Amino acid sequence: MTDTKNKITVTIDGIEHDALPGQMLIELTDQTGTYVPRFCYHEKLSIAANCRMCLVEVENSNSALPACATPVSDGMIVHTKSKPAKTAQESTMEFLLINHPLDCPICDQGGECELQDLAYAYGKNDSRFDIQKQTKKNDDLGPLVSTDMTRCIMCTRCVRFGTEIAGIQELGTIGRGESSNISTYVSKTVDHELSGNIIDLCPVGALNNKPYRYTDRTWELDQIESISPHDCVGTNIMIHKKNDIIRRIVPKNNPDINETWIADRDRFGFDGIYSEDRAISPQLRVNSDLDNVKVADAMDRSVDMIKSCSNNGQSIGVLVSPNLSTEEQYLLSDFCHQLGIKAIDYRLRQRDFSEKSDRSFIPHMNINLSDIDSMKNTLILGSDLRKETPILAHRIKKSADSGSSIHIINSHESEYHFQIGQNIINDDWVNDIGRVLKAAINLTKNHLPNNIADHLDTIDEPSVKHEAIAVSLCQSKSLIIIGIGAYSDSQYQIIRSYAHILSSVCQTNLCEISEGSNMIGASIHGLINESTDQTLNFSEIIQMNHDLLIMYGIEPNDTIYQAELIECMKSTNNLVVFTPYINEYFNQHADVIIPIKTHYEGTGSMINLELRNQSFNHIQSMSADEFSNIELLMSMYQGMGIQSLSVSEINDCIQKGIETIAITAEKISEIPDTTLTTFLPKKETIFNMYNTDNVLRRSKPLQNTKEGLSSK
Amino acid sequence: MNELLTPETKKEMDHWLNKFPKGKQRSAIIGSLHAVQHQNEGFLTSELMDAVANYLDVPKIQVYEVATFYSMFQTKPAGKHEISVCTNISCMLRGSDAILNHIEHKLGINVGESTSDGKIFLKEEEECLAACTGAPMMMVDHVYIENIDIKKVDEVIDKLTSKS
Repeated sequence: MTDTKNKITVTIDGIEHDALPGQMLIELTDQTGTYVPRFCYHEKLSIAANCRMCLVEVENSNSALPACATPVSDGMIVHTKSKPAKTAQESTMEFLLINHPLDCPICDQGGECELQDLAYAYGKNDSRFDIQKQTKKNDDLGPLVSTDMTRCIMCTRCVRFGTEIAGIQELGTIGRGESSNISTYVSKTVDHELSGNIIDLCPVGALNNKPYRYTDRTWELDQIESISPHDCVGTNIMIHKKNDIIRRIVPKNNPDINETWIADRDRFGFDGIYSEDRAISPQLRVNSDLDNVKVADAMDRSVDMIKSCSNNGQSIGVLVSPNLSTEEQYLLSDFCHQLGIKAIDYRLRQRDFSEKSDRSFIPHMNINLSDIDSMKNTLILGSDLRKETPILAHRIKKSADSGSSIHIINSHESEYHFQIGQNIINDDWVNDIGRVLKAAINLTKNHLPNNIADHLDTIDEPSVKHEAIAVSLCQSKSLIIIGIGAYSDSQYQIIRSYAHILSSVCQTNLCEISEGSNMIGASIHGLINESTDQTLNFSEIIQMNHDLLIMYGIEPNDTIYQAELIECMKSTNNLVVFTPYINEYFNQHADVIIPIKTHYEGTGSMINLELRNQSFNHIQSMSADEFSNIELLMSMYQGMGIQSLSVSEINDCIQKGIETIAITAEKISEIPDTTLTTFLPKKETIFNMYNTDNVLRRSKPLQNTKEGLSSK
Repeated sequence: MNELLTPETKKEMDHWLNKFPKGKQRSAIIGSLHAVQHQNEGFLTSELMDAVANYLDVPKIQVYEVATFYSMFQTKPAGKHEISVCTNISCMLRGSDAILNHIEHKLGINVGESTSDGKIFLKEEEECLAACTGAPMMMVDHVYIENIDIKKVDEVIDKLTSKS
């Protein structure tokens, strides 16, 4: 639409500006810093031009024109603050206020309400309408969004969000004229992983944050920038807190990552940190009971346990959450490294560990998140993409909406909100990936190493569908996504090899979704300390008998090996858990419980799947008898009499690690020998987006949604 | 769900569907709703609207939006014969209010209601029907009757009520 060659000139309030043909007037005024009031216009949504608030005077036009729907033209002279413009804006405001209730003192939007702000600027003191105001029925939109539809000014931003962003049309405009209202007609809850964004879009108090309802006035809140810890995208958020307690979370606009959107779990997940089962006091098992003790005592006991395990740490197992800050991960890995502990892992959902070398290929993506928008051909392998990474799924939707073809190969159907090209759902889906690879090789006539050629002979001939996918991927701007479904599959290594080779053959980009929020951070230590002997994997660790098992930030529910892990906790002689939460298993089996902070209460950095290193801040000042997670780990080092790195040294290592991943551009080029693979029995694990970490599991609003209740 | 629609209705809907390019089925909603409302003798139900959405392959809410927006669609049960009396400016000046009053009394119902035998539906509000030259006027089952007075109204209504 826009053509950079033909610049045109538009005069706004007496100042000449360069503009691009096809640009809407409001985009230009926003760029040049001239404020034009608006309700229905939103830069990420289509243009509706139905609130009429943005009327401006354009010379040689009979009437005031809506800036949001008026394309600029050369020589256009616009007045945004002239008498005719003001009159038009004030009249619009008078109409909007006819039916708007004057309940600002009890409205949560008060203080951050676009209507309230503009009413101050453009509204009249009194109303000429003394007829009765309209009242409207409220729909129940579920546990996340509260409705006060009487406050609605019919801007239809929420309706357009549903159609254009969420890809579902559940809300609509029912009725006409004065009696029109936003409704679902037959009452339906809005079940979308991004549904909370309609709270931010609503310019008035009609759609509000339900859990936050009636808790604070917005001007009492302090704001901290942070990152969401619930998936590997690294969504930017703003934490709003009062008295060191998080009251709500809103998006932080970052065009490179999440734009203005955040997923519902980024917005409502924090509720879990105020759960009643938080671990508050350190505890030691004395005889069969857990007694409350001081932190120092619990730490001393842990250190004694480690010391009493002789033979170079061989009998110690360490299980770590992939959601920790990189600094914590680094210290933990380094601690184990120095003590010769080889049994440490954070891969809670990987089932197939048959390839020993896979730690050198860290799952990540080799393009930026914002590049996904312009991809033309995408193949999604083994993923419930909308649940695994809602923001990434939204970017895929954007590319699909602009005409790119999206293909899917998976073991089960999952719901998508965009047009799908080839959709292969098959129990033997791994074979289908092989057939696509075969089709691609036939197509490109690439020479292959013998072991691959031999392997391909064992695969069925590709069908028309497989060929169609191969043809599509061999075009420019293509992308292969490997989801968590594939990662958790018992044939992960083969899937991954197929995908990597397919990516090399077709020269596509590659995106591997990693589990947790900071799996890449967790792998940094292993990367830059290449001399490290081969460490054991999660599956091996929980099948061994340990003198001492240390669990850091994880619960049995976090892993697909739940039953095996519980067995392992029972059989170990000593169990030390560092945990923000108490659960029945810890109560029964732990010998030492040391409370740690959650992500929201800590500080540090995380690396997202595009290798972007972002830091976050904690929400509270700590009292003298409290310890940060880093301080706890440092005291372990001290107790063991070993040297720890300082935080700034760790940061240097992190930088080095990221560079190492970034320059290792090579891909897996070998197919694992299937005959050597020991297949674990295939288990059906349904990915539940509100059950992926210990905080989300305890967030009451999320657990009351359809998705939350489905795991009960 | 499609079995709620009769073959004639489907034929009519196909006619509208064929008028618009693929992916623009939304444009066929008004025509389709007319056909379905006719099939159901004067009003739409949620099930019928869902059936239209399903047949046209559009989100249900888009059909609800259209059905609730236009006054020619009834989303509540209504009588078989539809009477709408114009009360806009020209007709009002020529005595439409008195005529409407008379009809209400005669049928024993208020505007927006249907007679208990389900025969006649007196439509709530009718905007100008563009027949000011023949004011006052009313529309009975989509047919204009112009220059009406009490006597003429009586005749028309008696004829309707005597019909089976």
